[in-house]
Amino acid sequence: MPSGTRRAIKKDKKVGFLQGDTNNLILDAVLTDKGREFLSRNDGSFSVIKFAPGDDEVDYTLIQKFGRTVGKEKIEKNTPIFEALTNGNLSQKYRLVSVSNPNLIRLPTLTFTGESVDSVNKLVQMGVTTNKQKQLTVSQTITNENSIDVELRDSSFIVEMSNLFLQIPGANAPDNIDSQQRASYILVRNAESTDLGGSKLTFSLASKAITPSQFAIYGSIANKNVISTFVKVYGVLSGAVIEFEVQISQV
Amino acid sequence: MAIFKEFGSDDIKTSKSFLNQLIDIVTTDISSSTSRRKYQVFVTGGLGPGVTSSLFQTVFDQDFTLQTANAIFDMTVGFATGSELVVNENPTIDSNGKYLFSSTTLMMREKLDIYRLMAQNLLGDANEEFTVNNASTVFPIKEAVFICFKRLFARDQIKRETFALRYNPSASASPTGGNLAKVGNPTTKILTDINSSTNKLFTFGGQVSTVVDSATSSNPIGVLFIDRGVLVLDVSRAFGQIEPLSGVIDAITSLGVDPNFTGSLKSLLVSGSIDDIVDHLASTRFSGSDETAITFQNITNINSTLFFARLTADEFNYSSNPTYVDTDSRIRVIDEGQEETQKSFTFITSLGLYDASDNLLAVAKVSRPVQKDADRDITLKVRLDY
Repeated sequence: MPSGTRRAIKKDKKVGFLQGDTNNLILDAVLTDKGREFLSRNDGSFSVIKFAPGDDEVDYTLIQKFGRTVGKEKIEKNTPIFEALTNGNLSQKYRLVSVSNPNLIRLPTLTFTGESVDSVNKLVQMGVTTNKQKQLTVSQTITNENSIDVELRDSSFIVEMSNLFLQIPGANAPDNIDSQQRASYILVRNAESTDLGGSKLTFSLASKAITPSQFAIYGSIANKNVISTFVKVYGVLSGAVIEFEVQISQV
Repeated sequence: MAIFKEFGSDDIKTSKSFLNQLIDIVTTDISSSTSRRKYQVFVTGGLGPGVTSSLFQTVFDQDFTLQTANAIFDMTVGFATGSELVVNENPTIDSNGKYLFSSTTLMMREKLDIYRLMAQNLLGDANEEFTVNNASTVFPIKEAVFICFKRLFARDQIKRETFALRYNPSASASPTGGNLAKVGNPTTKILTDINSSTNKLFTFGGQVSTVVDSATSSNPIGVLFIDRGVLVLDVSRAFGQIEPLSGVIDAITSLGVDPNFTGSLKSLLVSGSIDDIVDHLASTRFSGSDETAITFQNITNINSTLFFARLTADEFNYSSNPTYVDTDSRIRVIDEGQEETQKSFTFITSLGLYDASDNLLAVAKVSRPVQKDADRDITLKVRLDY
């Protein structure tokens, strides 16, 4: 064997090869109710275009509590993964985000304000006849930063709510109503921004004409005159989510 | 910034695969009257009291009255018009082509009709006769037992060379007191579709396998329509013909027909109702407690779409999970003071497939959280089966 070849082999020994297939994970997917509905239409509406990874089950406070090494291990080994849900509204609550800046330390979150709303406890109270409409503002905020990175600013938001009890007056009909009677509205952000440059969304939320029979069915056990429902707002680009409770009284 | 990533043209592939399931049907399911359902839709006309009978019986995997019971197969019998059992009865044929038999026979027209129905669907001609053959001889099947497996078990096809049926070809040798309902001679015979992979036959009704006696593979007993999931057994080759049988059967007693039957299997085929015949074959020729009576493997064709979700190193390293940042908007996975060296990371627990309007169409879950960071390029292969 020529000495040159021996040298080449010695050099090769220093090279580490990563086995590519260890990074390939094979998953079985289940159709959501929306997927089944589109498939049943037989009109080509079932068309997968894009994907989004999610991390609903993960509790990242474990990293803070136990440090990066042990925290990661705890998440990997101790996090029970729920089964895939066919209800599209519940399947992926929190999605991962791609940002070109790899050095971010802070991320914006969503807050909401409005007339007589409890922002701290994320609660809105309204009635069927009095106070039946509230104007709410959802804003992107970030603390200890001078401004929100341009890439992190949402241009539109999706607002999801129960189509049985709530609506957005003035907006067109919901963009989508699923089989669970969850209505989705796609709303464009306000023209003006927050002081930090974040996006704002102002919209009105109104209760529908809820009958006493509905209160008897959907009212809370402790007080049948109050129906509790949840509204979810998330940024289309950032994926940032805020979910708040709406209590509707029979007044 | 994005929460979605579009699939590229090379990221979506379709594939076809096959799933085999082993089906094992135990004897008690066939022999027990609780798991064998009758549909007594046939009623004799004219003088009463008449005879009622099913045109077929359905074998279930448990008590058929239970909601959880699954139908395994339908079982019935039929004759060709050229059968000696028909010819010997000298039926008259009226101007409409209807066969008229003597009152000592029962359901002869229905047995002919069932054979014709099967022939039409499986052979393409109601007047054609089923045949079974070995290398040298073609044997017509004049009297047939039809076993039609339900789709739940036969699925898209019965796999060749996996079929076996074990039964008692002979009736009980002790006719005293009647052996019509007694468990048959314990000597069993096993039928298989051995060599059907090398003798692939096609008919109007799809692919067929020849079912032979496992002890003598040159002795064909029936044909198995593997696409249809229908087994056609030749009664004259499968069962003993001359053993004495006796017992009580349904008969139109008001016409003087004796319900006390004495004769052979052939005469039972003529004199008995379909219920009587199926009852006898099912309850006495499939003996044993929980032994296998019929087994085969089915084939399910699975069409899959494979989505290759490629997460490159610099993608999806942040999260919208509310625990990802603290009240100070700070990313929790980066330690304070370590911002220069530590990069953010996330864990993946699900992958959603979306359409252009952001509708979630399908969801896939991982078995444990998968770490994603700037050093990892992950490809998640998501399979959607149809």
